[in-house]
Amino acid sequence: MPSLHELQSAFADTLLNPDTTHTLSYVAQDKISRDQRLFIYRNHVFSSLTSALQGAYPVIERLVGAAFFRSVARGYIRLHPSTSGDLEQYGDSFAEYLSGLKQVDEHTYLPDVARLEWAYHRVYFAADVPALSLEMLAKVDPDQQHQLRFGLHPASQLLRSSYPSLRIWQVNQKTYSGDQTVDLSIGGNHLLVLRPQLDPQIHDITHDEFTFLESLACNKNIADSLDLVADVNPEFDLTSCLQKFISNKTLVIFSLENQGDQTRAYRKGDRTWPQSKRQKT
Amino acid sequence: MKNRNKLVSTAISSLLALSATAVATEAYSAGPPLEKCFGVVKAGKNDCGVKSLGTACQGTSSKDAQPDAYIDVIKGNCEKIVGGSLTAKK
Amino acid sequence: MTTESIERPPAQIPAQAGIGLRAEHYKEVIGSQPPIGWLEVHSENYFGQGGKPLHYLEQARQLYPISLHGVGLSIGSTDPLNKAHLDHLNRLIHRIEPGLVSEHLSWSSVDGKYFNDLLPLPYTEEALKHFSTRVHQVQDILQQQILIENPSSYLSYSHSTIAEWDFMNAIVENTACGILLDVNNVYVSAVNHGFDARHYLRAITADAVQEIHLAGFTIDIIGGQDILIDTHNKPICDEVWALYQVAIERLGAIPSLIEWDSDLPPLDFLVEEASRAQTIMDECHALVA
Repeated sequence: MPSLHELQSAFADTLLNPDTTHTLSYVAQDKISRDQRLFIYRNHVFSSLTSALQGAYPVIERLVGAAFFRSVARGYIRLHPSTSGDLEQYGDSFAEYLSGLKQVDEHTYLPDVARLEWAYHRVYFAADVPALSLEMLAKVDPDQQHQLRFGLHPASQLLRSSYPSLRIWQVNQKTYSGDQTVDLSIGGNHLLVLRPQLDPQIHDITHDEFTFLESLACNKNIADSLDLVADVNPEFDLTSCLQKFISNKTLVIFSLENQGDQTRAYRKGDRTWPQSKRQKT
Repeated sequence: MKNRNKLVSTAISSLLALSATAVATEAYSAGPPLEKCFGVVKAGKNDCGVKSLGTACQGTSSKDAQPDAYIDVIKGNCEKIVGGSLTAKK
Repeated sequence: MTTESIERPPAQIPAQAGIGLRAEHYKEVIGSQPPIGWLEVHSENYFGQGGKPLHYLEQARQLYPISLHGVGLSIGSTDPLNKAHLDHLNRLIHRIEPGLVSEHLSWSSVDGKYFNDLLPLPYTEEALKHFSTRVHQVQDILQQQILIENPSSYLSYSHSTIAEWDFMNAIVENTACGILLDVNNVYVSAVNHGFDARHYLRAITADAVQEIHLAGFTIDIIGGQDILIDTHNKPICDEVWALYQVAIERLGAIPSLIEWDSDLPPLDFLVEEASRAQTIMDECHALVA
């Protein structure tokens, strides 16, 4: 008689690897066979994990077709089983998995589209935070302003692609009815996926804006971040850039260099916002 | 160095001056985003229903994880993505 | 108490029929406020930190008591309890103030891998001890009682020595948890394994049952045999309604949930199924009175 742990490990093996040699002789056979009974569970595990991937990657599924998607999902599930009891978390390494498939060699834009879909998926569930307080910003001593560090909204993601991944994403939305042709020669894009309120948005931003935001997101102060951009483009308009990204809630908090705890509090973790204080009842 | 600090101060002052009217409220918008999906609600993926075998693909043998057979399928579905160099990036 | 909770209905789940709240029905439920006693959601669908799921759930909570039904805690696993999962659940409990919190008599992970399915436990002394310890731990961490639901199952183990209903009762005895009696699961497992569903309903500790689930199943023909699959995508069948009546006659009015997870029907249909359950409870009550 197996211990509970032995039983669970062997059961798990047969779920993920149908060709496994475990016989699970302690699974009762009566009405139907042991394998038929196990198959019901295996079918369900693969169906629900595939459905989780379909939920996160609808554009990829549309691009490659349902049959190929299911087949790729099966391979992915075997190699990268779920590690969470929450299916919304499943599929974070799908883009990397796609980029390693030889069938994708001729469609190298697919992993970038998958990255965009994953960013969208994460942003959908990320924390809600209020806009940056301009009243507080006004109180910062002008001599210290260059040391300001700005934090990005936890529901924001920056993505760079060598392909027009946004265009591919757009023409493959269910609601899109125009011409689905995308010419890859129009080149890549810099994207900001953002959720200021409830609906995610995808912004096509400039290279300079991207560099600036990326630098802020790496906890560099505003002056150093400006340098990165202004060295290349002296025309860079910092005022309108700040105005744009504060008003659309990309930049939601700030701190001064020597008091950066609040900013770091959520950036060092996996973009987890500090918990609001809630009273236990 | 001095210059860039001054640039920052100037930018923040103009921002605050502008915002006295506009940015302070969330109503201000820096133009519409390129893509906005109003009203899309994702169906929750966690549930406790079990999938019936009715529509299950017969295959859960390991061959199914080697989808060579699908190269043509993916080509067909992706034929609307054209131009550029498809294999340039690795 | 938070400001929101002042405007909320009481947390307690009334002894009435309720329905599962699914994303497809958020706007309609909140907009039309159908006449049902309470709502239930799957806890894990609200483990994100913000956005639409929590937004709509909080709105629904302003209108109805809510029960949190978990599918991913993997209480029966031999891995250590997943603290991150419990933290998410704890946060959700404080945010929503549910009337009931439930999980399953099953396991869904081992050696760090999750299968996101309710996998069957062997009903042995070892498993009973293990499961009871884990329910204790969960109740300690959550600082509240949880309900354990009987699963529907498709296989059994030849070394099981305890009947499922006795196993459920023993967990209650060991941990003072409550029971979520899924009448459809009793029926599905009874057909799949060949035991008497009515006996199960008579044997379960009546005082411990605090919630009932009702759902629809699909019949798959496997190896020439009918196997019932708990698909939650169909109306409740007549046999299960009959068993529900038996359960209510024995237990009295109990919060009863119409559970539907895929191929969702229009909201009205769910409300009608709920009112059918309500009628059965009302009629039993009238007989007793």
